[in-house]
Amino acid sequence: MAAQSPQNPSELPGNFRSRVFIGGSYRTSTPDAPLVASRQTLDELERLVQSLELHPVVADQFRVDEPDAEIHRDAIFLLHACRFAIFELSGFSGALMELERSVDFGTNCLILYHDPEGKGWRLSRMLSSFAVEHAARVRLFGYTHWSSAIDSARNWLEEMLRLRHARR
Amino acid sequence: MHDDNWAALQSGKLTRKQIEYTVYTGERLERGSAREILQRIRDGARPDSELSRITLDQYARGLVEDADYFIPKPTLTFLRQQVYPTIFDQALVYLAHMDSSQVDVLAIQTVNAGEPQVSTT
Repeated sequence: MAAQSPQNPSELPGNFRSRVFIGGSYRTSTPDAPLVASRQTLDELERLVQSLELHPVVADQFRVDEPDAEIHRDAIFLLHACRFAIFELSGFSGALMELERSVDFGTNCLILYHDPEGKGWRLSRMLSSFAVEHAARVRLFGYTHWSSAIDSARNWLEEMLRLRHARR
Repeated sequence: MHDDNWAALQSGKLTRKQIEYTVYTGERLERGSAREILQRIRDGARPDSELSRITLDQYARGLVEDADYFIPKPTLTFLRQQVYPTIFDQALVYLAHMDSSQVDVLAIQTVNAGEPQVSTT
Protein backbone atom coordinates (compact mmCIF):
# COMPACT_ATOMS: atom_id res chain seq x y z
CA MET A 1 0.00 0.00 0.00
CA ALA A 2 2.87 2.38 0.70
CA ALA A 3 3.93 1.95 -2.93
CA GLN A 4 0.86 3.78 -4.24
CA SER A 5 1.47 7.25 -5.66
CA PRO A 6 1.32 9.79 -2.83
CA GLN A 7 -2.03 11.39 -2.11
CA ASN A 8 -2.54 15.12 -1.87
CA PRO A 9 -2.92 16.11 1.81
CA SER A 10 -5.15 19.00 0.74
CA GLU A 11 -7.69 16.57 -0.70
CA LEU A 12 -8.48 14.20 2.11
CA PRO A 13 -11.06 11.48 1.52
CA GLY A 14 -14.42 11.48 3.30
CA ASN A 15 -15.32 13.89 6.07
CA PHE A 16 -14.06 14.63 9.56
CA ARG A 17 -16.33 12.02 11.16
CA SER A 18 -15.51 9.31 8.66
CA ARG A 19 -11.73 9.60 8.80
CA VAL A 20 -9.66 7.22 10.85
CA PHE A 21 -5.99 8.01 11.32
CA ILE A 22 -3.84 4.89 11.42
CA GLY A 23 -0.59 5.29 13.31
CA GLY A 24 2.35 3.15 14.25
CA SER A 25 5.68 2.46 12.72
CA TYR A 26 5.53 3.00 8.98
CA ARG A 27 8.88 1.40 8.33
CA THR A 28 9.25 -2.11 7.11
CA SER A 29 11.44 -4.49 9.01
CA THR A 30 15.08 -4.86 8.03
CA PRO A 31 17.89 -6.85 9.63
CA ASP A 32 19.38 -3.64 10.97
CA ALA A 33 16.11 -2.25 12.20
CA PRO A 34 13.78 -4.99 13.32
CA LEU A 35 10.37 -3.81 14.32
CA VAL A 36 8.11 -4.90 17.11
CA ALA A 37 5.10 -5.00 14.84
CA SER A 38 5.41 -5.02 11.09
CA ARG A 39 4.03 -2.54 8.63
CA GLN A 40 1.61 -5.28 7.65
CA THR A 41 -0.44 -4.54 10.78
CA LEU A 42 -1.11 -1.00 9.57
CA ASP A 43 -2.05 -2.25 6.11
CA GLU A 44 -4.58 -4.63 7.63
CA LEU A 45 -6.05 -1.89 9.80
CA GLU A 46 -6.38 0.23 6.70
CA ARG A 47 -8.33 -2.52 4.95
CA LEU A 48 -10.55 -2.95 7.99
CA VAL A 49 -11.46 0.74 8.02
CA GLN A 50 -12.24 0.60 4.31
CA SER A 51 -14.43 -2.47 4.81
CA LEU A 52 -16.58 -0.45 7.21
CA GLU A 53 -16.94 2.26 4.55
CA LEU A 54 -14.94 4.70 6.61
CA HIS A 55 -11.84 6.51 5.36
CA PRO A 56 -8.38 5.48 6.54
CA VAL A 57 -5.67 8.09 6.69
CA VAL A 58 -2.20 6.58 6.71
CA ALA A 59 0.36 9.36 6.92
CA ASP A 60 3.04 7.84 4.73
CA GLN A 61 0.61 7.62 1.83
CA PHE A 62 0.48 11.41 1.59
CA ARG A 63 2.89 13.66 -0.24
CA VAL A 64 5.42 15.53 1.87
CA ASP A 65 7.39 18.15 -0.03
CA GLU A 66 10.31 18.42 2.40
CA PRO A 67 10.34 15.17 4.41
CA ASP A 68 13.26 16.08 6.64
CA ALA A 69 11.58 19.28 7.76
CA GLU A 70 7.88 18.60 7.41
CA ILE A 71 7.00 14.99 8.26
CA HIS A 72 6.07 15.81 11.85
CA ARG A 73 3.99 18.86 10.94
CA ASP A 74 2.19 17.09 8.10
CA ALA A 75 1.43 14.02 10.21
CA ILE A 76 -0.06 16.19 12.93
CA PHE A 77 -2.10 18.01 10.31
CA LEU A 78 -3.48 14.70 9.05
CA LEU A 79 -4.27 13.54 12.58
CA HIS A 80 -6.05 16.83 13.26
CA ALA A 81 -8.34 16.17 10.29
CA CYS A 82 -9.53 12.84 11.69
CA ARG A 83 -12.19 12.20 14.30
CA PHE A 84 -10.71 8.79 15.13
CA ALA A 85 -7.30 7.21 15.39
CA ILE A 86 -6.09 3.66 15.74
CA PHE A 87 -2.50 3.25 16.86
CA GLU A 88 -0.42 0.09 16.88
CA LEU A 89 1.92 0.90 19.74
CA SER A 90 3.72 -2.26 20.68
CA GLY A 91 6.99 -0.38 20.37
CA PHE A 92 8.38 3.12 20.31
CA SER A 93 7.72 5.10 17.16
CA GLY A 94 6.87 8.61 16.03
CA ALA A 95 3.24 7.72 16.59
CA LEU A 96 3.74 8.43 20.28
CA MET A 97 3.99 12.13 19.42
CA GLU A 98 0.74 11.86 17.50
CA LEU A 99 -0.95 10.08 20.37
CA GLU A 100 -0.13 12.84 22.81
CA ARG A 101 -1.44 15.52 20.46
CA SER A 102 -4.63 13.57 19.86
CA VAL A 103 -5.98 14.70 23.25
CA ASP A 104 -5.62 18.32 22.21
CA PHE A 105 -7.65 17.58 19.10
CA GLY A 106 -10.37 15.59 20.86
CA THR A 107 -9.59 12.53 18.75
CA ASN A 108 -11.07 9.24 19.91
CA CYS A 109 -8.23 6.75 20.03
CA LEU A 110 -7.79 3.02 20.16
CA ILE A 111 -4.33 1.83 21.12
CA LEU A 112 -3.42 -1.72 20.19
CA TYR A 113 -0.35 -3.36 21.65
CA HIS A 114 1.08 -6.85 21.45
CA ASP A 115 0.94 -8.51 24.85
CA PRO A 116 2.20 -12.05 24.32
CA GLU A 117 2.66 -12.72 28.03
CA GLY A 118 -0.48 -11.07 29.36
CA LYS A 119 1.42 -8.53 31.42
CA GLY A 120 -0.22 -5.34 30.19
CA TRP A 121 1.23 -2.31 28.41
CA ARG A 122 4.84 -1.97 29.55
CA LEU A 123 6.20 0.42 26.96
CA SER A 124 6.52 3.15 29.56
CA ARG A 125 4.73 4.10 32.74
CA MET A 126 4.44 7.61 31.37
CA LEU A 127 2.35 6.25 28.52
CA SER A 128 0.30 3.97 30.70
CA SER A 129 -0.59 6.86 32.97
CA PHE A 130 -1.40 8.98 29.91
CA ALA A 131 -3.93 6.36 28.81
CA VAL A 132 -5.48 6.23 32.28
CA GLU A 133 -5.62 10.01 32.52
CA HIS A 134 -7.46 10.24 29.20
CA ALA A 135 -9.51 7.07 29.50
CA ALA A 136 -12.61 8.79 28.18
CA ARG A 137 -11.03 9.19 24.76
CA VAL A 138 -8.24 6.65 24.78
CA ARG A 139 -8.99 2.94 24.85
CA LEU A 140 -6.25 0.36 25.31
CA PHE A 141 -6.34 -3.16 23.98
CA GLY A 142 -3.58 -5.68 24.56
CA TYR A 143 -3.72 -8.60 22.20
CA THR A 144 -2.07 -11.98 22.20
CA HIS A 145 -3.14 -12.76 18.65
CA TRP A 146 -3.26 -10.23 15.86
CA SER A 147 -6.71 -11.44 14.81
CA SER A 148 -7.99 -10.24 18.19
CA ALA A 149 -6.56 -6.82 17.52
CA ILE A 150 -8.47 -6.65 14.26
CA ASP A 151 -11.67 -7.81 15.98
CA SER A 152 -11.18 -5.22 18.68
CA ALA A 153 -10.68 -2.45 16.13
CA ARG A 154 -13.78 -3.57 14.23
CA ASN A 155 -15.89 -3.64 17.39
CA TRP A 156 -14.63 -0.23 18.42
CA LEU A 157 -15.39 1.35 15.06
CA GLU A 158 -18.83 -0.27 14.94
CA GLU A 159 -19.49 1.15 18.39
CA MET A 160 -18.45 4.59 17.16
CA LEU A 161 -20.87 4.19 14.26
CA ARG A 162 -23.71 3.04 16.54
CA LEU A 163 -23.15 5.99 18.84
CA ARG A 164 -23.09 8.20 15.74
CA HIS A 165 -19.70 9.56 16.67
CA ALA A 166 -18.64 8.22 13.31
CA ARG A 167 -20.65 8.87 10.18
CA ARG A 168 -20.07 7.59 6.70
CA MET B 1 21.25 -21.32 20.00
CA HIS B 2 24.10 -22.72 18.01
CA ASP B 3 25.30 -25.75 19.89
CA ASP B 4 24.88 -29.49 19.90
CA ASN B 5 21.51 -29.40 21.61
CA TRP B 6 20.22 -26.79 19.23
CA ALA B 7 21.46 -28.85 16.31
CA ALA B 8 19.71 -31.89 17.71
CA LEU B 9 16.55 -29.88 18.18
CA GLN B 10 16.73 -28.72 14.58
CA SER B 11 17.21 -32.21 13.29
CA GLY B 12 14.19 -33.51 15.18
CA LYS B 13 16.30 -36.09 16.98
CA LEU B 14 15.20 -34.97 20.41
CA THR B 15 11.85 -36.04 21.71
CA ARG B 16 9.53 -33.90 23.77
CA LYS B 17 10.67 -35.48 27.02
CA GLN B 18 14.32 -34.94 26.19
CA ILE B 19 14.20 -31.19 25.95
CA GLU B 20 14.14 -28.81 28.84
CA TYR B 21 14.54 -25.11 28.50
CA THR B 22 15.84 -22.57 30.92
CA VAL B 23 14.26 -19.21 30.23
CA TYR B 24 14.18 -15.83 31.85
CA THR B 25 10.66 -14.47 31.71
CA GLY B 26 11.52 -10.92 32.63
CA GLU B 27 10.69 -11.67 36.25
CA ARG B 28 12.21 -15.02 37.06
CA LEU B 29 14.02 -18.07 35.76
CA GLU B 30 11.87 -20.96 34.63
CA ARG B 31 12.96 -24.48 33.78
CA GLY B 32 10.93 -27.16 32.11
CA SER B 33 9.57 -28.37 28.81
CA ALA B 34 8.32 -25.78 26.37
CA ARG B 35 4.76 -26.76 27.20
CA GLU B 36 5.34 -26.35 30.92
CA ILE B 37 6.96 -22.97 30.51
CA LEU B 38 4.23 -21.65 28.26
CA GLN B 39 1.67 -22.93 30.75
CA ARG B 40 3.40 -21.03 33.56
CA ILE B 41 3.54 -17.86 31.49
CA ARG B 42 -0.16 -18.23 30.76
CA ASP B 43 -0.92 -18.90 34.42
CA GLY B 44 0.89 -15.68 35.34
CA ALA B 45 -1.04 -13.53 32.88
CA ARG B 46 -3.26 -10.77 34.18
CA PRO B 47 -6.85 -11.97 34.62
CA ASP B 48 -8.12 -9.31 32.23
CA SER B 49 -5.65 -10.26 29.48
CA GLU B 50 -6.55 -12.10 26.31
CA LEU B 51 -3.99 -14.73 27.22
CA SER B 52 -5.87 -15.72 30.35
CA ARG B 53 -8.97 -16.46 28.25
CA ILE B 54 -7.45 -18.80 25.69
CA THR B 55 -6.23 -22.36 25.92
CA LEU B 56 -2.61 -23.36 25.93
CA ASP B 57 -2.98 -24.90 22.47
CA GLN B 58 -4.48 -21.68 21.13
CA TYR B 59 -1.66 -19.71 22.72
CA ALA B 60 1.03 -21.84 21.09
CA ARG B 61 -0.68 -21.92 17.70
CA GLY B 62 -1.20 -18.16 17.80
CA LEU B 63 2.46 -17.47 18.53
CA VAL B 64 3.46 -19.52 15.52
CA GLU B 65 0.77 -18.18 13.21
CA ASP B 66 1.42 -14.53 14.14
CA ALA B 67 5.17 -14.77 13.73
CA ASP B 68 5.12 -12.78 10.49
CA TYR B 69 3.92 -9.74 12.38
CA PHE B 70 6.40 -9.79 15.21
CA ILE B 71 9.63 -11.44 14.13
CA PRO B 72 11.93 -9.76 11.61
CA LYS B 73 11.81 -11.55 8.30
CA PRO B 74 15.46 -12.71 8.16
CA THR B 75 15.20 -14.20 11.64
CA LEU B 76 11.87 -15.84 10.90
CA THR B 77 13.14 -17.30 7.65
CA PHE B 78 15.85 -19.07 9.63
CA LEU B 79 13.53 -20.20 12.39
CA ARG B 80 11.08 -21.66 9.89
CA GLN B 81 13.82 -23.83 8.44
CA GLN B 82 14.30 -25.57 11.77
CA VAL B 83 12.54 -28.68 12.98
CA TYR B 84 10.70 -28.57 16.29
CA PRO B 85 9.54 -31.65 18.17
CA THR B 86 6.27 -30.02 19.19
CA ILE B 87 4.39 -26.84 18.44
CA PHE B 88 5.11 -25.79 22.02
CA ASP B 89 8.85 -25.87 21.35
CA GLN B 90 8.33 -23.87 18.18
CA ALA B 91 6.08 -21.40 19.97
CA LEU B 92 8.53 -20.88 22.84
CA VAL B 93 11.45 -20.27 20.49
CA TYR B 94 9.35 -17.85 18.42
CA LEU B 95 8.16 -16.05 21.56
CA ALA B 96 11.76 -15.51 22.61
CA HIS B 97 12.44 -13.77 19.29
CA MET B 98 9.53 -11.34 19.55
CA ASP B 99 10.63 -7.87 20.62
CA SER B 100 7.39 -7.40 22.51
CA SER B 101 8.26 -10.42 24.66
CA GLN B 102 10.51 -10.43 27.68
CA VAL B 103 11.22 -14.14 27.37
CA ASP B 104 14.80 -15.14 26.72
CA VAL B 105 15.84 -18.74 26.17
CA LEU B 106 19.07 -19.08 28.15
CA ALA B 107 19.73 -22.78 27.76
CA ILE B 108 18.43 -25.93 26.20
CA GLN B 109 19.03 -29.05 28.24
CA THR B 110 18.84 -32.61 27.14
CA VAL B 111 17.62 -35.07 29.72
CA ASN B 112 17.17 -38.84 29.72
CA ALA B 113 20.74 -39.25 28.55
CA GLY B 114 22.56 -39.78 31.77
CA GLU B 115 23.65 -36.53 33.28
CA PRO B 116 21.85 -33.57 31.83
CA GLN B 117 23.89 -31.74 29.24
CA VAL B 118 23.49 -28.05 29.61
CA SER B 119 24.36 -25.64 26.88
CA THR B 120 23.86 -21.94 26.82
CA THR B 121 22.57 -19.92 23.93
